[in-house]
Amino acid sequence: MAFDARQEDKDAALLARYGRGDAQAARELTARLTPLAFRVAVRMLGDRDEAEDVVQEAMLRLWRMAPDWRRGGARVSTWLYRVAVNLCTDRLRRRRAVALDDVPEPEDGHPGVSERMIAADRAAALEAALQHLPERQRQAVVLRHLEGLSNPEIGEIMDIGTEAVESLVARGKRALVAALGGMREELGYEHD
Amino acid sequence: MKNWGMNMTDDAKRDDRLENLFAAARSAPPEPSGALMARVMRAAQTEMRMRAAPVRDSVFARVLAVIGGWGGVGGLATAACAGLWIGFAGNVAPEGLAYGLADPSGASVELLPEAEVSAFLDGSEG
Repeated sequence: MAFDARQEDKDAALLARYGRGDAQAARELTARLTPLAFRVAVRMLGDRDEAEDVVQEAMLRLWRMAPDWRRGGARVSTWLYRVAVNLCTDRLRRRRAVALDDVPEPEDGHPGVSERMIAADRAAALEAALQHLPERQRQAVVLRHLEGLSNPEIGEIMDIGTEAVESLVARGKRALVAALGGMREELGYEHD
Repeated sequence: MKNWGMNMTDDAKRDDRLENLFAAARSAPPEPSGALMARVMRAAQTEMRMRAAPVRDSVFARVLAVIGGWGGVGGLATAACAGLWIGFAGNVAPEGLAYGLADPSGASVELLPEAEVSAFLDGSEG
């Protein structure tokens, strides 16, 4: 936790330096925060090109608000997670509005996902399975289990209470297991 | 009827295996391309330059500066109104402009009394 606090201090200090016109601070912030926003965007959208657009927009907002950043408020990384998650949500809503019929419906057993699990590496299969989760559950599972954030921090990002986060994570994990249902043996479902 | 002991074992096993998948995903996260990193950095530099560049004054702002700001605008407006009034009331005698400057009581003060001037002139002639 102390390490996290030091990391956050560093982000806030770098942002303050960037706000005063320090290009080196911009380089360091780019290296520290772009991967974070990209991971979340790819896992939320399941599409690298769209994730890149989200990251560019989120980071542009970071650069623009740098001169107004007040230390002691939200953590820089929390702020960025929140912006990235909201941008992803907007895109997912637009997707639903534009091509509702094109969204693949999850089927019993999800053979596509399970085949990928066998053929490709497990991380890729998990990320494919994540796309079958309802949007809010996916956000909560990604932030909790892949980004390693605490429930209060996830609550801050998603603008909900800690109990609601716990509920979303629990339901998300159950949905994830269901989406990975084809891998019964791998997930210990052989006795059900 | 379910065997809860069995279910809990299954749940724990399932959670362990799910956690293994999460760990696998955490160890192989999607990484941003170099091109994306470069685009983000370029945007940072562009924003920095835009903030550093002096804001160009509009023509109005520059005129305002020449006439001495909003105080100057007030002076100009007063002068313009006075000019208009004088133009419309052109047949008024000039002394009317000084209305109120003269003593309304009609009393006057002689700065050089007439009798003393006469005496001075008489003496100089004599």
